[in-house]
Formats: sequence, C-alpha cells, structure tokens
Amino acid sequence: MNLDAVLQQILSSEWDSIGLIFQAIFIALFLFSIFYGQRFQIWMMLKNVEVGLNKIKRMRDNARQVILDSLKRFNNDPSLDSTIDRLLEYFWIPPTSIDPFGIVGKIDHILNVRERRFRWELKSIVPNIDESRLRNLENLIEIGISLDQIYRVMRHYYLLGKKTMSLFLIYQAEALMPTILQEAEALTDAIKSFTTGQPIGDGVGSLVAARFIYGAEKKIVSEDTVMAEVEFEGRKLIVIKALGPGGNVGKPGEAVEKILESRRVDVVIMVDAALKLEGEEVGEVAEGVGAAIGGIGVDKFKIEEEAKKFNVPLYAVVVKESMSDALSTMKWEIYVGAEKAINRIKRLIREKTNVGDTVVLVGVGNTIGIGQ
Amino acid sequence: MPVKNSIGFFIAFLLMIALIMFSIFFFFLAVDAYSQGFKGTALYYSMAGLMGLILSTYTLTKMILRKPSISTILDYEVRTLLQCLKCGFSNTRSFINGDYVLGFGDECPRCSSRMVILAIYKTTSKKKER
Ligand SMILES: [Zn+2]
Repeated sequence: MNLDAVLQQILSSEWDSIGLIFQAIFIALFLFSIFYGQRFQIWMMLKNVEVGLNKIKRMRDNARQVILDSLKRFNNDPSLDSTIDRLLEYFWIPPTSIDPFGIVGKIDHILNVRERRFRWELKSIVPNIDESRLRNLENLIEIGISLDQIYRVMRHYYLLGKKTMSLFLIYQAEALMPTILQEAEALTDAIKSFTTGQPIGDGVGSLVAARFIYGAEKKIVSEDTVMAEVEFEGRKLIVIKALGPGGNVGKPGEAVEKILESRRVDVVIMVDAALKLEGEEVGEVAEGVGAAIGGIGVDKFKIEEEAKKFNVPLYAVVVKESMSDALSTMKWEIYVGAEKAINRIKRLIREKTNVGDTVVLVGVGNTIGIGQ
Repeated sequence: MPVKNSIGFFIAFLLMIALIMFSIFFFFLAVDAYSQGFKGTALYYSMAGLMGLILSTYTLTKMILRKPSISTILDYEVRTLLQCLKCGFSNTRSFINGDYVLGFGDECPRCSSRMVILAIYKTTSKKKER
C-alpha cells in the first residue's frame, strides 16, 4: 500500500467530516476531564507521595544498617537485628496537658527515665565501650528513631489516602513531602558525623563556650555537663557546656538552676545555633534577649524561671545555619561565625557588666567532636 | 537506583518516539492537503501534528532530564586544622578517627610539642548525582 493512495483516501473526504472528528475528540477529552480529572489528579499526587516515601524508606534502611554495623564492631551477637528493631521502636508518651500545671517537671522526669533505660539497654549490648563512644551511639540510634518515625507516619498517610482516595488526605501528604524529605536528608547527613565523631553545626554554642575555658579547671555540675570559672577583664566568668567530645547536650537548665540558686549572678548569656531563614548566610551572628535553647523546652523553662526568680537579665547570641548544617559536619563558615560570636560576647560583657560582676555563659548544643 | 533503565521507562520512551513519528506524518498530511487546496483540513492536520510534537518532546525532555534522585551518599572531605600554641605553627590534614576540636593532635614539626586541633570542617558538600 503506498502513501499516495492513503493520502488520496483521507483527503477525498470532505474537510467538514474531519472537523467533526476533531470536535468529537475535544468533547470527549472535556468530558473526561470533568468526570475523571480529579481522580487522575489524585492518582498523580499519590504517585508523588509514593516516590518520596520510597526515598525516606531507603534513608531509614540505610540508617538502620549503619547502626547495625557500628554495633557489630563491639558485639557479634546474631540477635542484634531484633534488638535494634526493638530500640528503634522505643517511644515515650508525653504527659497530659489537660492540667498543664507542673507539666515541665513531668516531661523532665519521663525523659530522664527514658534516657536511663536507653543507656542501660545500650550498655548491655556493648558492655566495654567508653563513655563518649556510647553517647555517639545513643545519638545515632536517636537519628534512627527519628527516621523510622518519619517513615511510619508518611506511610500511614500514604496508605490511608490510597484506601480512602480522599483528596484532602493525599493533598496534605503531598504538600508536606518536600519539607519532610529535607528533614530526612538532614538526619541522613548527621549519620556520617555521628559514626565518625566529627563536630556538627549544632555544636557551635559548645565550641564558643569551650574556647573561653580552654585550659581552665573543669568540674561536673550536672549530668554530662561541665562548668569552669575563668577571669575575663576583671569579671568572673562561669562557663557551662555539655561534656565533650562525646555526643552530649548535657543538662544546661539544671546547671544554670544550681549556679543561680547558690550564688549571686549579674548576667546570663546564652550562645546557640539558630535556624536561618532562606536567604540568610550561614555563620551570620545575631544578638538578642531571652533563653536561646531549643529542644522540648525543659531546659528553656528552667532557665527562664531562674532568671525571673533572681531578676537576672538573659542575653542571647546566635549563629545562624540551616537544619542540614546543624546536623552535619561543621562548615568553615560556622567556625568564622563562632569567632564573631566570641567577639560579640566579649563586647556584651564589657558593655553590660562592671568589673567584679559575675557572668554565666551557657554554650548550648550537641558537643560531639568538641572537647573543652 | 537505575530508574532510567527500567522497563516502564523503555516503554514510555518508545511511545513518545512513536508519537513524534505520528506528528511528523500529520505534518506531511497537512502539507499535502494545503497543496491540494484543502486549507481547513491542512490547518487541522498541522494543529494535531503540533500538539503531538509538543506533548512528546515535553515528555521526553522531562524523562531524560529527570532530577537525580536524592542520594544518601555525601561526597565531601573533612579536614582537621591543627596549631601549635607554643610557636604558632599551623597545619591542615585529613580527618582521622579520634580527632576532636580542642583535643591534642600530632607533634609540632618545629618544636615537637603537641599541637591542638582548632577546627574540624568539611570542605565541599556536593551531592553525588546519579
Ligand atoms: Zn611548635
């Protein structure tokens, strides 16, 4: 059959009939988009969620494998797999907030129990491990728990959406996916730092504090938290930071509480990493007032309470960085930021205190890879 | 993950190639119709051809230039900056397990006292593209 014959056949029909065919096709498409458009859209969104979910799953599995490998270096028990799965599913139930009075103390208590239990569990798996390695492993498992939790929740919404075909459920899951993926990626970045014990961006507060007390005599003030007293231009500087170089955040709230209860303090300065907004530079330093400390809020509450009780001004200096900077190995810009923060703190002390005053400087953050 | 080599990708690729061929065929029909005086028909054919061509090239470029999937492998080097507090000599080298900031590092090559680690930092943070 040659092309010319086909063309002749098609072209011999009147162009009106061809127009009719095209019109019919357009009407069919229009009807399809009216009746099945939304279904099609839902299906597309569901596919997007599925792709994201698979990425999260890979990240979670990778984290689990890394944890398993690093535990296997210390213990070659074949039942390690199931132990890890048990640890990864370890949860804590926040206390009721129907009557919020005293809730901070309850949260503190429950988290302490959790931490002790967790540490005991880990020690029974790897008995002959030094403290700083143990802390790093704890952190690693925390990351694993976070990733596992993210995966489970997103999978729940994906499956629920698939089951109910509810536009709003799937829409929510799809809308949240990019930020959740970012968070999961940041956690994945953190794994490498915690397996090797490299300092992370979150530790910039600890770094600044450590720089003030390098070489001074330190003592433990509360669990995993050290303090040291140094002189700075005639002022007494009491510096608090988590005990390094293991992955610790310490208990700065308790430490500040103890110090403020036991002696006269004129100023409390807190230094921490803060989440930067898009468009801000990594390592930018900003200054303000208030308790610069993240987390669930137990330490923040304690420090604010004590500051109010003794009428001590609270100053804050923060170094800005993104979430992935905060969780992965420190960038050079953050060291530059730390240097700037040190100068800001020195200026702050000169401006806001007199010779003979006592200043408490709290370096907040995970001190992994940072000594003192 | 070898997404690009999957069977789904291959089938979609073939379909798009077929669509391109079809569109080109429609253009031929349009030219032929125009030369024979059927202006309206020629318009319809060229419209159909154009739509097919746009759809297929759009899909193809999307498929080929697909964003690399998120990699969990990060490609960066971690450096350790050491300084001798006695004579001021400073040096950077690759990170070694056990290094920590403000901890003791190697011996100073000049005065053979132990140097202090001032910084541990990553140099580049580019993600491996697949
Ligand atoms: Zn030297």
